[in-house]
Amino acid sequence: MADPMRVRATENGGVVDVKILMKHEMETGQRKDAAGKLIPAWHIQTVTAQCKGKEVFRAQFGPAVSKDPFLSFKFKGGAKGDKVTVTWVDNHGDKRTDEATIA
Amino acid sequence: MRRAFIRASAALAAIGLTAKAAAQAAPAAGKGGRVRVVYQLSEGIDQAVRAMANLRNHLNAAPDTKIVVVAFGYGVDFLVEGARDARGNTFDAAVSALSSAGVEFRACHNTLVARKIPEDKLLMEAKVVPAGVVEIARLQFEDGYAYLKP
Amino acid sequence: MNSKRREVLRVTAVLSLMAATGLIGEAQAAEWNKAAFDGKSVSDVIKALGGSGTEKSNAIVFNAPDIAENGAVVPVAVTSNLPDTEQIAILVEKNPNTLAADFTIPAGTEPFVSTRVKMGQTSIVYAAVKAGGKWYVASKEIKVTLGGCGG
Repeated sequence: MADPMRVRATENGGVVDVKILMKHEMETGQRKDAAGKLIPAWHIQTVTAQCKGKEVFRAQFGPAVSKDPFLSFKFKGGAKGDKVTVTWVDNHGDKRTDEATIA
Repeated sequence: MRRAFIRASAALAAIGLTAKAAAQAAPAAGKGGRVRVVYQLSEGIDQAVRAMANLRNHLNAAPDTKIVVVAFGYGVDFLVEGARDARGNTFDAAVSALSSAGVEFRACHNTLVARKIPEDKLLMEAKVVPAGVVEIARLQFEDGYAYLKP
Repeated sequence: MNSKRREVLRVTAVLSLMAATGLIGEAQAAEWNKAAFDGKSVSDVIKALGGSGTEKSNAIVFNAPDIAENGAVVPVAVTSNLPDTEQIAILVEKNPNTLAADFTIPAGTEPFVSTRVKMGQTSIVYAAVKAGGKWYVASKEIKVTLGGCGG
């Protein structure tokens, strides 16, 4: 499985702040290798986050998102102790799911 | 006489063995393997700004170097979310780029407690270690890291 | 056939079957808007996102540096104060492909997102927001001293 992402979720005043740091090359498909050949695009395409069975965020990434993508969003309806689950899928079909407990 | 000789040889052999073992425990410098360096950041934002440039230059010149940054005291300031330098720039981009290039950022837990900085206010790239000074000593003594203070 | 390829084929087959039998929505099966990510201009992208045009809005707060020293990592954050915000997109006009990322804001989620994008060169960057079925934009020029797309 791909390298784990770091997920942090903190609740304040009813709003859960989620920060995610993913590990992925995010190869644009524009770079050339030493022999001058184009390195094929390899990047996360979708990121989804769930809390208590409900989707709380969805992102579609193109290759222009930076390497080791960072993503932050906020939602209402989560309480301390609930889990936030994040999943990404890349253009090779690889996926990664990690979770954090809301603190 | 013979017994003394045997005892002496055994002692010499033992010394020889332990010397060899010690040499193998800390990887010998200049004998192959990656150069490892620990950067100490403990002075504040201005030092951190200089260090970001030092780190970039370091990796440009020697891309294979394993670098760990240990921040304690005022050195953790640049790792706090929203921190800005004198020109108003945030550190997240620089830390992200260096992190993607393999640099590790470790913040001292004792500092966070003493200065009342919540762990969840640190940049996601930062890891927390129990004590910065202990970490710096350990990296040098046990893991053969070279010490650098920008 | 290696195991990874087998896994991808298996997943694709299962997804297609699920879509065909209506178990999951078409939208979920085709999750990535290729047309939008192939767009080479702001208008191309907005069209592919289902919009007919954009209107400038002061209700979109777009936080990004004026100068990015490293084009490979440019932090951007968008907060929309438009009511009924359902989608936020980040477009970099001069990038090889204009759309960098697209975010769906379900009910109950704040109309806010923060991420980091690559910029190939100095360019106008747009924060596009779909609110109440209409697309709005805010933009700023970000100067890049070291381009970050590669090549």
